[in-house]
Amino acid sequence: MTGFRQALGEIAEQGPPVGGMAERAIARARRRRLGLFAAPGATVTAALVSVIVLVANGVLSGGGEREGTMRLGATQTVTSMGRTPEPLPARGVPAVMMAYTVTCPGAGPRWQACSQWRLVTTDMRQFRVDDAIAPEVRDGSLEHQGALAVAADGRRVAYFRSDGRFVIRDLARGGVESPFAVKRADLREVTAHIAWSPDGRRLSVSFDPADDDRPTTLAARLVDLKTMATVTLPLHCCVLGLPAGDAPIPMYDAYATEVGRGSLLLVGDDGAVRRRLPIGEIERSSVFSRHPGNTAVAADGTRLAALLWPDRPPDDRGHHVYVPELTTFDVARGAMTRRHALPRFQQVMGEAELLGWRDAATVLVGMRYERRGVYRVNADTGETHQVVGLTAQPERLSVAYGLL
Amino acid sequence: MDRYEGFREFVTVRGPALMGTAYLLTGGRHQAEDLLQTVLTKMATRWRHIELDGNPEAYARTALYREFVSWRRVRRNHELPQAELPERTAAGDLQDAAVRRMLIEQALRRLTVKQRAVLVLRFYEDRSEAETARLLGCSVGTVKSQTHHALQRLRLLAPELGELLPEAAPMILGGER
Repeated sequence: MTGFRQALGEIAEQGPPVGGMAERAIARARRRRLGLFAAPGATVTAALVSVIVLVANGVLSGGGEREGTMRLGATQTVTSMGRTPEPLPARGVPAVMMAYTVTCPGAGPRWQACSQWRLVTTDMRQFRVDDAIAPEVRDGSLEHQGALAVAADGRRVAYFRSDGRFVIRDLARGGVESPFAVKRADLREVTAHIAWSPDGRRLSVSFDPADDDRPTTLAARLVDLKTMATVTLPLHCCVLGLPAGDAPIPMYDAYATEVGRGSLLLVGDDGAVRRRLPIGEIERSSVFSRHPGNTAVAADGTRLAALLWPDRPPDDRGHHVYVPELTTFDVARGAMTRRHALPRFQQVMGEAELLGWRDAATVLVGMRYERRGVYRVNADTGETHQVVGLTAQPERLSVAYGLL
Repeated sequence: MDRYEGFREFVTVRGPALMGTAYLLTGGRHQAEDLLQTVLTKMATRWRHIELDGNPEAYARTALYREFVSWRRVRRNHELPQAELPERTAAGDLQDAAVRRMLIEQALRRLTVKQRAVLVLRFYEDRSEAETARLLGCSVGTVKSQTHHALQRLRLLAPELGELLPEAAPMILGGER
């Protein structure tokens, strides 16, 4: 037996060197945490992108289904197979129902040129947004995601241009406003998150440290969309959603504290912190609660929805299975009010994201890798219906949440 | 504070040993790299929780074995090395460590995933049957029967190894659940 053990030891020594595995593991973990992780080779090939829109005829009628069930409406396909859409016209564009990114796998100018943001209008046309910073891929890894968000009514889009200017573009009238700019180099180091209020009165931009855990130097901004006045918010990250009117803005000090010591901040239009609610218990009992894409605040600001991945013990086969839970919080009390397991969204972590509240009872959940599409989920019952299907694997997705 | 503080050091110190185990389990350099990379990525993702628990080594080993069992179940059809055993070797050749190593490696590759994992845990890591059962998420009875079958099969595949191999414990009827 000693000889057998010795021989096994000798075989083990023939294993390959560990090399840069720690760094690769950290890079992948960061991308998972940011909701970016895809299997190697899963990057979208731009030439073969199509979007299937499932018309939601009657999808919401009837109701009564149990949580986690899905029904599909009739399908209608808008395709851009084998060709790049036309550039976005300067004006006269109907409302946009969604925006998504196309990322190309190669390097160099040819591939970079095919990475782009695309808009899908309510009449099913697609346009590319040439001046928006597009996702950048380097050595097969996503270096930067770009940032673009569609207003709740689909009539405006906001994005960072390649010169670092943040612009708000009225699609029908063609007006372009630019309330502020950041250095292009600084933008490369962060993931920007843009949130529109449902009434179109204000907009926020917060900055997630894309490849680091330290706060960035870029402070989050709040923009008054009537005056284009900009207020600096108390943290760089993260605005968890923007309610209508002047309801307090929920922020999370995700990167300023350690797990278990986090707080939910309620911030006024002037950038002052009105209240601070500890949410360490929630942090300790869940995985990936930090990403702004996992939260959305209701239009009246009273309810916060969050996709949480409770930290569960392995199953009887030893596998860690993470089932996301749609959890709602009473913002005023900082207390959890409801939670619904969404077993249909069981997945590799980091894929599902909350896209916003469609109405007072329904949130929209986006899936970008598996079961790709947009789903309506009733926050009170957990009832789930798919409303949009995607054949592409966008790195980022934004929807006009009032239109879906 | 760096979310991954301590993770790099952990991989530097314990990575080679984990890689050795991964190589023993998979029998291939690329497969070993894939397996360990998968486990390390999962660990990095949950590093703060793992570090708070205070035993990352135990977590890594558990994850390694369980990942291996589930991973190979999915991929075995196209990833198992299929090298044939060499011609019968003269007993004297076993004095040559390289020949002995090659024989064991090739015989190991022809065991089932669980048999292989059981042998590595019991005879390389020197784990008890109870520990092996816990790590693999199965019963002690299963560990006993898998060990028995694995050693029997090794003797069948490579009779030259007979003297090297530990005695297989007798099977107890009803021991496997």
